[in-house]
Amino acid sequence: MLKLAAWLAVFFSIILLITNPLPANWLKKTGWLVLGPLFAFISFKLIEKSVWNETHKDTNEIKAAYSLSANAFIAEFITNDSAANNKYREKIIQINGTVAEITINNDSTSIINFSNPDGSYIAFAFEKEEYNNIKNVKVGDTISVKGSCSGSIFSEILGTTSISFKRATIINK
Amino acid sequence: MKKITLLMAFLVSAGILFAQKKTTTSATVAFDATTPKDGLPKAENKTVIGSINTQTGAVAFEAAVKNFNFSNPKVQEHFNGASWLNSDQFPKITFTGKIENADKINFQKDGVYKAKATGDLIVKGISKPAKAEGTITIANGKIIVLAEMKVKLEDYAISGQPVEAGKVAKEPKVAVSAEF
Repeated sequence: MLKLAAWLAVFFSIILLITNPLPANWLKKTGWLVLGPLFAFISFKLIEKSVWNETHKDTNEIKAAYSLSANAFIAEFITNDSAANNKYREKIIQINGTVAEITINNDSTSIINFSNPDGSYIAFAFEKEEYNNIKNVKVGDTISVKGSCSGSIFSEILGTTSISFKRATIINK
Repeated sequence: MKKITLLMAFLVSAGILFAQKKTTTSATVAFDATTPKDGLPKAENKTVIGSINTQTGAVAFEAAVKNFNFSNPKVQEHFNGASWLNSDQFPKITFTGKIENADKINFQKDGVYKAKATGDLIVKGISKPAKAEGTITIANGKIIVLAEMKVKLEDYAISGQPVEAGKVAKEPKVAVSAEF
């Protein structure tokens, strides 16, 4: 798309130069005909580079849109998963609960689950940068976790609702 | 007495059968669609649900599409968009299959066993046959699965300018790791 626009700009610039007698200050005016598209191209490339080099903001620095208990959070999804997904998906949510399961992987990433009595659960995925905050967490600990909510799926394997989070961080223990 | 005996026998049998199916909620699926032109389209999902039945060789995985975490927010947005995985409408990817050589794997004995699984991979509501190859390691009572498969994006009606421009691989690599 950009190439087409650039070629069109060059083509019509040439047509303009050919069909008009050379005006006074023709060099200056020709210069602007070339510099205009050139500036536009450079600006586009800088914006493109900025967008593709962007990374996610640190979850620690983002204020949670909602804060609630694990049981209340799970209950909303069990009651009406469509409404809960529309409300919470892709938002930063703080959940307070008791650790039911913790997994620390060989690459220092980890997963913490909060669950309710019927087996439905919330799974938080932590990046390796969170390892020092995770390594002393134990099953049974009451903690607050903040992360980007990915919404729920119903697991045919487990027969329960699974709600997952990415880029999670521990608020306090 | 007879009723109690029968009940106990039933409970023990049910327990044995249940123990043969093992599950995890922290399997990892790594998706890599990078090309020499673009190193951004790759992500991992570390909250994948998995199951393995040591008696029948049945395996299954479920992954929430939105929990694949890309380093770049724009790539994440495209991945979940309506013209790609369309995760608002199809929130999960599933694989259901069977280990073809399960009878050659002794789940009670420590060792590393080559494994091949075939089954159905469902993406965006489209089901296609799929196969994965890898290893099953039995160690200290744990079952560790490492497997890889290739997926053709066009099989799941996934296409677009980034694929045509060579910025997204037409057959991304999918790697699964799970500990049961």
